[in-house]
Amino acid sequence: MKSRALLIGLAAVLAGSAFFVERISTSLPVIGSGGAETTSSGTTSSANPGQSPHEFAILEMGMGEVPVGSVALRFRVSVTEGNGPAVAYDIEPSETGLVQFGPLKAGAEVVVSVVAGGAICGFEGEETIGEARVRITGALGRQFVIVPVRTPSPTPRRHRIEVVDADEWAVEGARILSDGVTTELRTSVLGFVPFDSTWAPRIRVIPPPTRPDLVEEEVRVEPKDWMTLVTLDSLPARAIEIPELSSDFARASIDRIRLEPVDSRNWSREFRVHEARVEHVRIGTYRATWDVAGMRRRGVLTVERERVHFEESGPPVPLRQVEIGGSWQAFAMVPMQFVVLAGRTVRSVLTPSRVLSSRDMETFDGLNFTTPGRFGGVEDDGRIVFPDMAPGAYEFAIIGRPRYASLCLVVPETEETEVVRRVAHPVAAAGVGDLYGTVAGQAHSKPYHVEVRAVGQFEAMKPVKVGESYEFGELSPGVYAVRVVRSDAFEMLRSTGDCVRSTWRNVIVDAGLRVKLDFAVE
Amino acid sequence: MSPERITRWILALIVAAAAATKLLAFETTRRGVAELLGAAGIGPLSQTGLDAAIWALAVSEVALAAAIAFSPRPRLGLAALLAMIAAGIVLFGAATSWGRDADLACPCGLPFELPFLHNTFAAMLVRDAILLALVALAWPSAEPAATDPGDGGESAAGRGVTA
Repeated sequence: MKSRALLIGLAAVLAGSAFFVERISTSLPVIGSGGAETTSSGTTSSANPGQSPHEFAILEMGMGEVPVGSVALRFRVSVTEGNGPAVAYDIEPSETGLVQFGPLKAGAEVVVSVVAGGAICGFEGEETIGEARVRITGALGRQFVIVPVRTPSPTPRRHRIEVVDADEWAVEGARILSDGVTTELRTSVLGFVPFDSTWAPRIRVIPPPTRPDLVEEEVRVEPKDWMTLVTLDSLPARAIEIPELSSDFARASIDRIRLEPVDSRNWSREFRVHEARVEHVRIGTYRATWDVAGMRRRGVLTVERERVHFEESGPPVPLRQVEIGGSWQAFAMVPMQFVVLAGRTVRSVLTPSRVLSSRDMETFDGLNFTTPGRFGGVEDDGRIVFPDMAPGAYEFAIIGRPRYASLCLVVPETEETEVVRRVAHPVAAAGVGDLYGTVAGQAHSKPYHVEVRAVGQFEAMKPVKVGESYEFGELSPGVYAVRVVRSDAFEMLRSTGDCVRSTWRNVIVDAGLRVKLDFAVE
Repeated sequence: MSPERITRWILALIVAAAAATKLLAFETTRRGVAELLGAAGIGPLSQTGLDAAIWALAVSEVALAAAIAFSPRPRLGLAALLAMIAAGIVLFGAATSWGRDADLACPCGLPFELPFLHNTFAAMLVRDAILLALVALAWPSAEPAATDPGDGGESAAGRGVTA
């Protein structure tokens, strides 16, 4: 009896301790992995009401269902912040109908339209096939919206010309010359121009003045085809010397310089500095930054055939250390679980559709593609430290598990003290949701798979039989694209007209929710 | 069958379920254990080491369940279970700074959630309190249970302790 009483007493002590721990922990700030626009409650707000750990928002958008057809689709995002004017952006989605945009402030009014066709893509007509209006909530962080869309009206087929450079970036403003072309034709920001069948099929494509690195090309158009892709060759890249960089190099080690072109291309890449020379740079004008002795130098770099000119854009700014608190030791020992602070400007968030489609947005390529970023180190005490961060907007993320954690923070330019953020386990704070449903229809000898993708490097697949259900558990909040694919869908000799894969459908999975999405196959 | 014995069977099933869950969701367990050990400052362990630790834990849980359910000395099994609970509290508590820091998921194979508790360590303590209460109910009134052959206990004579 004595032992029993002792055990019961111990159980009571444990239960009491549990409520004490709960009370203590909820009085501490808890940071969520992303506020969900469609969620009215969540751990983030309940743990620390009225105060978000995030300092800006990123909006993830998905089409309710990606329509089948040949007309190009894009998102048109119109943003009104405060009393300012509405600013519109055209963004190409990934093949799954996903895109992201930011940074955005709390209270920003965002009108998200899905537009089919339009001159920007080389089509004559333009049709809005879906629209949604959202207001960014005070939770900030990652927020989500699905835009319901209808099938676009059939458009008359017309030949288009697309002009790209050797890296497949669209060339904006390229001139098209041909016999029969009476008005001046220039490619859109996405590199397209419509072609009239009355024109002579031989055309000359002249690069715009903003792209002195390109050479003109002459091609023959086949109007019976859908499209003519013109790839303009580049002048060879070369090593350059920047006097200001050389003088900095003499007093401190510099191994990288970041260049971003000032034209419509939004890549952001680091170039190696070797013996004070920057290697493999093409002719053009770039925004250039490099770090030296705890300061960041910024300016505009003009690389011409014969000379290089650097014009500083203001005085150098001091670099800061960013610390993410918590117990992150596990990430020091699991392979490919790198922690990063990824730059989050409008430019960096407008990731090209092919990068989105490749799910590489937050991998090495993505980081050096449009998104400047830095890898963090896990200290022995579990903190993550990002030394030498320049002022700007960043998102804390984990490569390999891009939806596991997210913290949108700003490194201020004028702040003199170190910027320190604490993250008390974002996954538990945000919670996870489930996605499930059934696949109905006529059974087939070949098995089916349900595929799930999200913005960033996330992809999952599960086998499913017709008439049975599928489930993906423990998904972090976000927009997920889902489709059903028969195993022979991509076989070369498959008979056409057979329903072997569904369209991509997008859903928001939120913390604590079970989202049902059923499919029907023929 | 006595209430003590029924409770022991329930406890044995719970412990066996914990072992089975660990092995059935091995990848999740591996990730959880790696995070937990890392947060507690143990390791880093290699993949093989982690796998071996998980298997060892699961096998010992199965043995523990068998001991609780079938052993003629169930107190030994129950005491081992108490030790395991205590070790779990210490390890998880250390990893989470006693609930103040990282809210790790418990890889013990016994997920436990209550809608009014947000802290995983607090939820774990409530679960352990329930387990403790079950152990108290399962605790044999007297050992060896010579008068209750249905308990699987052995007689004093059978254990050769008679004079």
